[in-house]
Amino acid sequence: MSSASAPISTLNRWQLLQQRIIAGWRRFRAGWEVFRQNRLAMFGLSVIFLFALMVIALPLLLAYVWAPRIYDPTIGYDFQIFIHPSPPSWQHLLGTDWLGHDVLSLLMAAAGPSFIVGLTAAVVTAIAGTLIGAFSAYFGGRWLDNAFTHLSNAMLLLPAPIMMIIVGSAYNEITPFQFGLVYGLIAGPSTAAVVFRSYGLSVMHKPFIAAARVSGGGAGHIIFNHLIPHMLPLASLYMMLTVVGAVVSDGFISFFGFTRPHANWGAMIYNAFTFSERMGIPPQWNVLLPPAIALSLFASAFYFVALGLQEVGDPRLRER
Amino acid sequence: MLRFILRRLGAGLINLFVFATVLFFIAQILIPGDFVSQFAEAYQSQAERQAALQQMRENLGLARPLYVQYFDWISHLARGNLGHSYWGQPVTALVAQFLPPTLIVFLTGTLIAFFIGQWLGKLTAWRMPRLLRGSLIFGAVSLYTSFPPWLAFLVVYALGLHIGLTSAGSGVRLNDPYAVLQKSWSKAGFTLDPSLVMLRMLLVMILVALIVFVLNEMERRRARTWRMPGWLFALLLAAGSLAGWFLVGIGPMAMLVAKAAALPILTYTLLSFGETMLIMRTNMADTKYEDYILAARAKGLPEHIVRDKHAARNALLPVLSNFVVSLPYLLTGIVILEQAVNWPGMGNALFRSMASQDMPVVMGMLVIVGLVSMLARLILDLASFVLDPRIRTRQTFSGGFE
Repeated sequence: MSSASAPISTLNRWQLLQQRIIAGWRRFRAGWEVFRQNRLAMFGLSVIFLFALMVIALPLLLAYVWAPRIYDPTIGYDFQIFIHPSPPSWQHLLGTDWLGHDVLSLLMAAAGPSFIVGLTAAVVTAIAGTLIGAFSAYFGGRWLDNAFTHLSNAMLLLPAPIMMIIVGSAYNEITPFQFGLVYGLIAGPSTAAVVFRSYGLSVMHKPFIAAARVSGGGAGHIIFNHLIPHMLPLASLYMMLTVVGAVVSDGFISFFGFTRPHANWGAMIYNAFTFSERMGIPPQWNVLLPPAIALSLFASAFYFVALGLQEVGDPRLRER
Repeated sequence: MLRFILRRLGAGLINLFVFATVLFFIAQILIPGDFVSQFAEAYQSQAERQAALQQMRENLGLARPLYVQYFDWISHLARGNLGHSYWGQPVTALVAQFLPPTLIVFLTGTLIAFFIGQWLGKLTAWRMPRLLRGSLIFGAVSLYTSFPPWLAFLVVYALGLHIGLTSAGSGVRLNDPYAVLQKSWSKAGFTLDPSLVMLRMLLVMILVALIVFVLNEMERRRARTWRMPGWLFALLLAAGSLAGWFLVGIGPMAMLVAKAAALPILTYTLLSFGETMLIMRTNMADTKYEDYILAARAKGLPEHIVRDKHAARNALLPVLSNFVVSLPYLLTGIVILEQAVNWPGMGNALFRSMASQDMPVVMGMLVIVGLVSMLARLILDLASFVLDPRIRTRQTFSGGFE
């Protein structure tokens, strides 16, 4: 069907959807071309893929290659090695920690919860921030906006990472999903809402909003069909930035020495430090380095992707 | 000007009230158990335990309904009284003890991080070898996103062991760092309280900064084109504070504090300069292609003058207003960091009282953290009000955000 040349008003709903998908795909392709030029962003994306691969690989490895009684991240113990922690060997590529766990399998086991924490926090923050920001921008200057602004300025004084460390140390059996949820609910109305509101205000001055108003669009229509779609690029950028804070504060709770039910890079770092303090020796590098690097790399990968997305959304940043 | 300040102060007070309310209910409802439950194991029989715990709650005022506790707390807060710790000390005394160490690291670290950040951001946005730019950005992001205890460990390991800067403590040792500091204090034969010394150091530094600022303004009145370069400001500030400390008579003690604070400040700076750098870089990229840059180049001005005087100065204002939003996060960063570098500040006190569910102290510390970040925001708002003529004429409600 040659609907591409037909005027938009003559199209039926299905053709309109088709056109929308084609346009969206083109926009995605154009954005991807820009994104691909940015080497740091591509590095970040490949690191994220690597961690995702770790999540998938661990159950497969445990099922087919590694014997669970030796390599399982929580109950595994290698009786053939007498002194734990042990240095890297062919059986244990990254050695074992002082509890006898295989460092590599622990490292892989912690990737999944980190993804859940980071992504849940990111999605919840983006949703809460976008909604509050959009409503605030639409009703700019009126009581709803004032109430939201006061709320977010007050929440700004209560940053999510520290609050989450407090909540997390009180409920140390909190699941990664719940952790991300609470993080998002605290972070969303504060910084995210402030940033989204000011962006939404600038969108509200655009001519298409006036056009929608003139043609009789109500508040709900304008907010959900015009304002929020224009805030989505910023929201996706912001999601990536949220991951950093969420993952780091999740790691930090374990660092206080609270035992957590799920594997966690912060806990691995804590264990390495505790052992070295107890024995009065410098930390085992093969135990300390992998989780520390993994945690930093995981957080920075999302940040690099955010930088790439920023370049896609803001043409002025590109190299000319 | 006065109207602007009053309006910002009023909004700040409302924010503070909402913040305190949210904080109280989060702290009281969300956190399970209470202070007395940690003593439950000391009693043998069920009835005896119930009676003893109930008695303890009565004494501490925990048995009252929540809203009574809330009104009690908030009305005391309004009068500047943060209540008493369940162990007996007034929270205000604890704040007086733990706030100066935090402020010293926060103020100096933020200043250094801001200078480094905007300088590097300026450079990376301008023409630069691709590899160098990439590695600078990579380094800044890796430092910014690194796990604070790990970074602290690296800094201690790399510098502390070789230069001997370990007096601030290191690693994860969870002993009382204030006691450690006091021990090295009494070994050196000092009698004054460390936090009092830090408070005086801070006051001297603020005074010196004000003097430098006033001198700069006078020079600008005289010669219109004069602008103090950043390095000169830093140099004057450092030399002036050093001279001031010895003049006030806390010289040797201040040196000991400075030595102990070097590692926390360094770690904090490394952790926080990245954000400023990236925002500065973004804004520079915005101003890079403006017409006035083209005009400045066409006039034949050297490239670094175009960059520093024409592009960077215009790019700096959005950085300032962005800084306003991220200030609480920076302050939080330091609160978290203190635990890792064993620095006796607010964060350390906060987390140690958290472990024993000493809620008045936890809430008091958080309120003070919020108050400090609000004051810092007010100062930044004022600064951008003075610097940016556009804000002076517009006077929007939300200050620097639009």
